[in-house]
Amino acid sequence: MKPLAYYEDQLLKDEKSFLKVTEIERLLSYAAYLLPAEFRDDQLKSQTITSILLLLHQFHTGLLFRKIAELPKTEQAILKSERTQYLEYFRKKNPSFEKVSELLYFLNISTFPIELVISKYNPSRQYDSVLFLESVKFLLRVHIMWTTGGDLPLSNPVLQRDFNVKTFIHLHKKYSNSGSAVVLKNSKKVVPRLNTVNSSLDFLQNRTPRLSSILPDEIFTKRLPNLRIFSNFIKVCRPLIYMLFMWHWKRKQKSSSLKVRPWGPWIVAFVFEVISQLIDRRCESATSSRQGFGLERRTNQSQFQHFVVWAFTQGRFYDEFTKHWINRSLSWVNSIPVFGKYLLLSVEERQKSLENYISSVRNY
Amino acid sequence: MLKSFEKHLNAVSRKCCNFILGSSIPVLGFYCADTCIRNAFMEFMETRNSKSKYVEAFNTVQSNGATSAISTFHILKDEIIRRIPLLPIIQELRETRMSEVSAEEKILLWNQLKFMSLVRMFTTLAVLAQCNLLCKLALTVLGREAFKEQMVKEFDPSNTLRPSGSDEDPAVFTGIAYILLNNQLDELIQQVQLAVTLTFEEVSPTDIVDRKLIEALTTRVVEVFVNNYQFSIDGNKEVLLAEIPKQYIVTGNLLYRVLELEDFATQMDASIVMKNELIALNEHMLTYLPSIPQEGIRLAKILTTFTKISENVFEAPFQEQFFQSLQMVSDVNRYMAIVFSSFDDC
Repeated sequence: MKPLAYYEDQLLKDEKSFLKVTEIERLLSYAAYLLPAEFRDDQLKSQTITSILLLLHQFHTGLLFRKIAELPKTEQAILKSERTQYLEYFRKKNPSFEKVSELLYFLNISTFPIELVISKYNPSRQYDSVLFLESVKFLLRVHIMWTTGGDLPLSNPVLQRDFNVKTFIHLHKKYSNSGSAVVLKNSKKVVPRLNTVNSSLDFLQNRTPRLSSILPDEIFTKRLPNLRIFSNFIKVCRPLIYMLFMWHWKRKQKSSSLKVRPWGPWIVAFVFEVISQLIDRRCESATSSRQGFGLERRTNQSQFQHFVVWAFTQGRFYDEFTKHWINRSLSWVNSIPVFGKYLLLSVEERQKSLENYISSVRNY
Repeated sequence: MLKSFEKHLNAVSRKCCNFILGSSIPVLGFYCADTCIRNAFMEFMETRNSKSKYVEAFNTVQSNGATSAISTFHILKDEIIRRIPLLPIIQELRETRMSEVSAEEKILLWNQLKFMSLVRMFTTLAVLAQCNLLCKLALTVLGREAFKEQMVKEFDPSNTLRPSGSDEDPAVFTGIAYILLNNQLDELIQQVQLAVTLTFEEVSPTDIVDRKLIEALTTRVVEVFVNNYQFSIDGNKEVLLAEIPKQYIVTGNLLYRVLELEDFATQMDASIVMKNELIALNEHMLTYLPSIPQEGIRLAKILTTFTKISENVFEAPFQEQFFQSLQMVSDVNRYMAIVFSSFDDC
């Protein structure tokens, strides 16, 4: 524990801690390119390295937000985005929200390496492990929905570095000096000194408050309509239903030796998504009072984009359908008159990396 | 024949499927690009609108603060005239011309006129500066809550999330500034008297002065006053809370607003703003001096001009010109920007 504490203290020593952690992560990413070819070609090793780097990135993000917590509250509102305020509110309200979110993030990162390990050493239980992991993730997402009053869980429900780097460094440099801020006597608020403000117009534009920082926190707990909650629940159920069908097909395959993947699970998942989208359209007018928040809109859009990508690649199962789809797409690209051949050559060169990329697409 | 047709149909179907699959990449690409562009544009417009509304709200508050300061200063006119009377001294000086009075008594009366004239002049300037500062502070604190209320209304038209304490009457805060200034006026006059005494003690009304000397003397008065200036509400808080309900209908958390006003009014940066305001007012006041020849003129004539200025400053055109000079002080806007951005819930 002491080396870890020393490491944290060194990173949080001065106002340029963000640059330090960024350089560390960049160096580690570059070091991954220097690994032998065995590590790059082997899917298990490359995915494990990617997962470790992502976990390290998240650990550093937690340290940075601890650094941000040292700033006055009026300055924290400038750095923190709406998403961050949303997560911090529910973390403060319910202690289990933070643990469940971190566990869900960890499972999202480590699912694919775990599946690769099991498929390598015990192939017969691959689908069992995938179904188990999806069940656990489903329970975690339902718990998050319960905690947030029916909101669709974020695809990555942990803190992210969505703040301005220059502002972060500037504020820390500013408030590390004792003469640049004043603590008010009665209200105990920390406000900047007059000599630190060059222009009132620039100062006000940089400190324009967000809607979520002005409104009371009760806005996050405003209950969604029942149809909306049902729609979000359908979206959360879709991966589990799909994996149940696949698991059933795998068990059936052992007895009847079928080798062609059925279309039923994919169709069921597609129907679930269409139903949830139709319900969202119907409830759009009912949730107009929350249209001011961009977080909900972006969450739904990103979820739909993920579904579209998943629908064409079927997640991690890179099979004949995906190959056929990519081949047809390449032939279509080849028909472009002038640039077609060049695009085709560039895509063919990256065929292997494209396969790895599609395999790493999340299942949610 | 039938087999040939079926084969042909399969070929056509296969081509259609291939085309659909192949077209999915650019369609998906266009869809993602369109979504990203729409989101980015929407966020940009939201940010731009928020910033413009924020700056507009701030400018509105400053404009209202200036108007309130003029009204408050006009109300304080009678108090200043009553506490620093010049008319009896002038009448006595006029009577000395008709009757036989010793030279020593004349000199004494002129010194008294000099002293009182200067005290009244600089007291007026100090009240102007303090009035501008306090009224803008009060309305800026209130305007911040009004801006929050405006955003809440836009977000939730049904007003179910109305924040508490956001419906104070601006007149209450203007009244707070008036009562504070009225209670502080005696102390302010004493500070001005001390500054004038230290600066003009060795100058006689019969001395010959030039413009540079006048500027140096007035600047020194301002500097001495600012160094000794201290504004506090501790002693007047009980009086304030007792007098406000008698004159105004009070709603919301008045004590909290008074404490917040005290926070910003007693901060060291407020003294810097006060100093710069006084310097600006002094420079503007000097523009009303008559043209002085190179050999100089008697201080008595300058005192006559000061007396006229101290009387004219309460009139509409001169009053607005003095307040207009205060608008040029950038420190006021910067300090008010700091106050405006210190939200309670942040």
